[in-house]
Amino acid sequence: MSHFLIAPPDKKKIPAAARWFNILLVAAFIIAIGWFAVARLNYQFDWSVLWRFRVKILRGYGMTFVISVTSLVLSLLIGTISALALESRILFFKYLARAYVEGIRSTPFLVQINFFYFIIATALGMNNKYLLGILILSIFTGAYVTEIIRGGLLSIPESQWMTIRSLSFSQAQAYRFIIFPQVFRRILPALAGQLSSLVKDSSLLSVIAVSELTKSVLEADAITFRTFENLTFLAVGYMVITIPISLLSKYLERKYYYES
Amino acid sequence: MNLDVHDLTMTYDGQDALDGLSVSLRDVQSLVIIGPSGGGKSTFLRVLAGLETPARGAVTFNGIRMVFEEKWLREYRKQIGVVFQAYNLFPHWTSLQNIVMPLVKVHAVPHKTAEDTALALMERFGLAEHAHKTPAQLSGGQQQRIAIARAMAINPNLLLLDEPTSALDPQLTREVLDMILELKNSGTNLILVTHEMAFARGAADHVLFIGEGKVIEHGRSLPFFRQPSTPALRDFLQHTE
Repeated sequence: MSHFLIAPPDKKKIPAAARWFNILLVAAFIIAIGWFAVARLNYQFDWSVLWRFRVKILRGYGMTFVISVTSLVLSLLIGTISALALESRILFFKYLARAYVEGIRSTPFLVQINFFYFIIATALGMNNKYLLGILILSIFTGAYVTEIIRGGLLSIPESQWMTIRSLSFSQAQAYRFIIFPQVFRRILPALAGQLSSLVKDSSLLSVIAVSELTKSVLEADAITFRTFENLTFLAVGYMVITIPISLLSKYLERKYYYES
Repeated sequence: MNLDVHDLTMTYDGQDALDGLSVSLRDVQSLVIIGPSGGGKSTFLRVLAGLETPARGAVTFNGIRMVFEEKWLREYRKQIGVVFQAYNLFPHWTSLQNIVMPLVKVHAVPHKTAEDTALALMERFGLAEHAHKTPAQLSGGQQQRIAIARAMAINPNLLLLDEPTSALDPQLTREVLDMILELKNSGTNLILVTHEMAFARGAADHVLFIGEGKVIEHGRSLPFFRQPSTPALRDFLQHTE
């Protein structure tokens, strides 16, 4: 009986029966808690409000999706460049990247959004708030991605660089063929976590009136007052984007697995 | 090979790794370097490999004087094979890729040709069955033999080996030494830093004893081991055998 409840020692594979039994057990547990809480509230759900505002909400969802995917690519690009700048021997680039990372990480995202939107964008005469939203989000996430990539670069032992030099690989070849493939594999879990955060952080762009998912749903809520339904939809909506990121990361981890 | 080293000096964190090392060698095919740990053997080898820039001094190899500038050294390193103590294969590549990639990317050899070269080398050294394994799937001895094959694949003018067996147990040491011996017998120019005195005796044409950043004694293998003339070498040989 105990092998249904306790994982085998030494990290051996958990039997399928035990795995499914416990997954179902956890699901039942969560549903039971939810059920109990809702039953105590004595609240009548009315999901039809979501349907009434479907066009607005779906548009917001589409916007969140576009912002997330674009920022995801852009933040990886910014993170990579800035991580390389941190490792650069050109001191201006090195300290600029350090200032960027520290500046972003030590201030609230909400402050950055407002600062960027009301001061920098106005000064530069930029007024496409969607484009601005994507830029702000990418710059914000890029700082965290920088540190994740830097950590990955540091995990490559110095002896590999010695070997790279002895074989006469150029710097660019070294990063492309040797360093980044290993770094990528090592930082995947951390990276997936950061990119999931990016998707959720995009909700804060509602403060500069970017009509993404959160703003659309909250606007609908201001009319219908069906807060539980709306928030539930919001939660599920973000999960639909973040869970595939997590699954993709697990898939890539297996695909690029090598023993070391 | 002919090797002339004059007044080679290098400092690491305030400590002298090489202290005016000088030596002149003619027509040596296999040179073995021995000496106490921290005496400067590995640093000397890394200078010869074009991986370190000395503070002072000159090195002339086969009549060509080394220029200690990165641009020159990068070209120079293309003709030198280096084998490290810790094998240093890239863990995300198979054995075959570890040998093929430098050929393709650095030496611009067509992929098919590079693969043929690599497979022929692996065949020659009994490594063919490991071609598609990653380093983690191989024993230390096998990894080191792949690393030697990688260094040989570029058809180097000179093969440098920095304590290639000191991370291996005796049995694995044997298979690596056998491979080095075969390379020596087939005419490869090589310089080997080692603690394996028995092997040094058998495989060396010429031996350098380096300590405190200098060449303390050197000579043809036979008289070198039979009649060491300095107390330091006599003492060293007594304690290592």
